[in-house]
Amino acid sequence: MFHAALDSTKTWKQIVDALATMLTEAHFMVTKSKMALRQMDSSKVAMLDIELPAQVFQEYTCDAPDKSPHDVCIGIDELVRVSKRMTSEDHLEFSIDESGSTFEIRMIGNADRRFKLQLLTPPPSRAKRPALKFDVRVEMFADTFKQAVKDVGVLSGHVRITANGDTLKFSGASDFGETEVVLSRGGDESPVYVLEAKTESSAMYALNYLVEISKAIASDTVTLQFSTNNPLLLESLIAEVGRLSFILAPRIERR
Amino acid sequence: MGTRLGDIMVATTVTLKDLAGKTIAVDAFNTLYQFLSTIRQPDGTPLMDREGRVTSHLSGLFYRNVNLIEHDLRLVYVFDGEAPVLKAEEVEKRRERREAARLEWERAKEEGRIEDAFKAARASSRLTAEMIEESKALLQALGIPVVQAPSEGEALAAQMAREGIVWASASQDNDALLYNCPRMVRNLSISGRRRGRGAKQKTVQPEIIDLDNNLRTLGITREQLVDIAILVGTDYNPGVKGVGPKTALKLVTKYGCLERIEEEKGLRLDIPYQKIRDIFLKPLETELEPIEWKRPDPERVMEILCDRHDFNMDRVERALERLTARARETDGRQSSLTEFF
Repeated sequence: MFHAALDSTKTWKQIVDALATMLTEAHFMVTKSKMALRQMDSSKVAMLDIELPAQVFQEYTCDAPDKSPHDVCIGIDELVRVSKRMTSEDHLEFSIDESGSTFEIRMIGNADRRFKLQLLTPPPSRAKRPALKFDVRVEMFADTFKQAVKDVGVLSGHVRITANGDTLKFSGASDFGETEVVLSRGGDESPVYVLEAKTESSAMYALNYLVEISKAIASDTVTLQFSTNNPLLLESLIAEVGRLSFILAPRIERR
Repeated sequence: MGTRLGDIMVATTVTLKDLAGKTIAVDAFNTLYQFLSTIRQPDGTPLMDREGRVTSHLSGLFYRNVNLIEHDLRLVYVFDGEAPVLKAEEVEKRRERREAARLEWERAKEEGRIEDAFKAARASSRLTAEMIEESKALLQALGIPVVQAPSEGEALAAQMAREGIVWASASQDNDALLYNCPRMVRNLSISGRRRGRGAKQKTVQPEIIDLDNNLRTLGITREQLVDIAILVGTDYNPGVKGVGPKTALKLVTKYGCLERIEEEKGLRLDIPYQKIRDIFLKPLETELEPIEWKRPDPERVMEILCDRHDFNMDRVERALERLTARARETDGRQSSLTEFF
């Protein structure tokens, strides 16, 4: 009913890392064209939306039409522990047997190792993605974003992202001091490739979420989109054709 | 003080947790009087500093607000300005009552009647101009905004709630409702306190009174509620003898308004009721500056409480630590994604 092969253990590690930052169960929806996941964390502050089209995999077969996917629900702790057994030389195969009760991860290298994970009962409903409009869109070098997040995190628990047409600023403050990271648009040297702002916009986000998710970003480029006091959408690619979207609710200043 | 409408109004009991994140305009005088009357020793002696100055109100303001801030409530204190002319008589009466109570307190203390002494002492509570200024200074040091009303504080608190600047107004008396306050909170300054003895002992919880719900349930308009209040007695007039809230409700429901009660029932109302109606129905509207909550200033608080009024430094410091820890967390509220669907 489902079978896929993946040569790159790096890609799989990246996916599992992203899931592990905020979920306790991974709920994949598997169809003939893709493997997808869309879930909020338990506090409903962040959402992870992952799409892995069949092209991400070297082999891919699934009998479920796109309209009625198979629910594949796995405990994250087990998934992380099993995935740690991978070596970089391994070639991976995933499958669900006819009975549909286990998810098998097969690591083929020096040995042929099979791990069968018990499937969990899927949640009664699938999460919808919020309809968001963005005033700011930034494409930037992923490492620069990760660095900015870490810089602000030295002194603060949250980051304020401010953007106008020319500059993008990450800032944070606490009783101990403050940090500011300013990036300018354009020029061959600039790590900010695209910076579009309909209006000057500013919003604050919890850093712990951003620090965790940025560890799971493996692509060179990230796309940031946000509006004042609205959620942030962070997007990066997984193995060229797959997509990782991360949506984070803002911290809103009280009146 | 205020109008006794409790018997006919329905309140919902909540917990402090339910009020987390809410902004509330507090009737400052009402709250200060509560602290002055309740924070006393068994024989009625209030808290005092080395020089004999009363500090019950400061103690109440400090510890109570720390507690409420910890529960994530956002308060604004609204202070009374000049009392309406019509209130002069009531103000004078209160002054006399306080003076009489003070004499009774002295007597009861001398004669060893402790319970009587406590009761009399409570009734003798006085709020001086100095106390008001110090209370404002302490609130500002705590980062809590203070607003000065041109006249009655409750009228301004009601306006703020109506305009959505605050979620509700807080007071122990019901006058806020007469001033068209959509929602009021009672017991905020005494919640958690125990009332009664033995098996009857109960912990006081905050209560919310929703104006529209109550008017709908009673089947009256706000104008009619004001007429009921006038019959029962307000700060501006003594009530009609023998008429409590329930009787007043019956009268107003039956006849519609005070004019018709006079005409048709032949009840002579020797009350300038049109003027009193105007106080409640047409209060002065005030232009309001935006309200800003600031970080507490621990040094200033220590100065007011410990240096000037001999509060225990350790206790004040411990409470302040709780407060600054809280202030760090509240640099913005974490919203939920569900708010953006």
